Amino acid sequence: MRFPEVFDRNEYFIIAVCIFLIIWTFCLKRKFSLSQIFVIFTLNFFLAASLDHILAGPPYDLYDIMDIPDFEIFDFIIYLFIYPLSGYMFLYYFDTWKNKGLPSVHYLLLASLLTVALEWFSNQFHIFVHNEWTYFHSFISYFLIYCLNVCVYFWLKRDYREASID
Amino acid sequence: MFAYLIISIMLSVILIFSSFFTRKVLHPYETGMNWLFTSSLLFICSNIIDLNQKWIEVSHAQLPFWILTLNRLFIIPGLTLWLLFLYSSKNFRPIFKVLSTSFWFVLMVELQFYHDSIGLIHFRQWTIYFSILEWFIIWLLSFAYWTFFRLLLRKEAV
Repeated sequence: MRFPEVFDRNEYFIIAVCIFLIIWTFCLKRKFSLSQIFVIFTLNFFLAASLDHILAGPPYDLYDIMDIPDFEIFDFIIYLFIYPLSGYMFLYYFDTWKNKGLPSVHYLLLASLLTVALEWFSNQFHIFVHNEWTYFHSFISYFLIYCLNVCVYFWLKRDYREASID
Repeated sequence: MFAYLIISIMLSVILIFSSFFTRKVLHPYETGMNWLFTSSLLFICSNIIDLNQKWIEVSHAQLPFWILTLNRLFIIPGLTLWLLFLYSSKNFRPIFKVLSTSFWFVLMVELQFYHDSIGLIHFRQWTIYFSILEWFIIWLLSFAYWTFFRLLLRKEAV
């Protein structure tokens, strides 16, 4: 993995967001078991690594992450902390929202819009550089990713006590 | 190349459906976790080896890209999952597990060299030793993550 050529505002932004998300996550009351948290983290780590490889790499090259098109250490930090922690918080508040009897689709749309807004904010710090990618693509992608997370949430809730290891 | 894409799609479908049989000895969480983790490792290794170091030159055409993506998303994680299934099964003798691990290594290295021979990838600064090292790291990390997660599930008495 490459180190950043210049350690500037996008690197500081990533570090600040990581610290903020870690503190926020630790302040939350635990709603999932440790194994479920690992499933959520691995799922979002996988989604970040695979989708960025497919969409941001050649032949499509729809966007670039950070300063250079190569794979930087800060790309890996985003995969390892920002996406998994965001996915965990999305499901944490989804559980809260659902228990209050509010419609899931409203939460999904709201979360997708909020994430697009956060992407716009992070773009002010040159985290992403859009080539042929638009915010509409981002909205659709986040919506589908959150739908997948919700499917996993229901699977986790249903399957937790059903199966047992050998 | 198109025929190989069709074979890759068929193999991916077979491996996805066959993974349901691993429920006999693996917890569904283990199946899902290992699949996702192995696939993530493959994408990250590819980023480092192909994109950064350029030790392997990858064709940027659509067909080779999707063949390699299917390999990383379904075929290799699916085969690794079956290896872990053998490890966790009590019906197989240890020598059979060792032989299966050796077979997995040979298959992975051969697959990489086959991709080079058909022009899907092109080795620049790459030897069989690098290949063995790469697959050893992937096997070790997958095995370590799976073992850790299995212990966690046992601790939680799931």
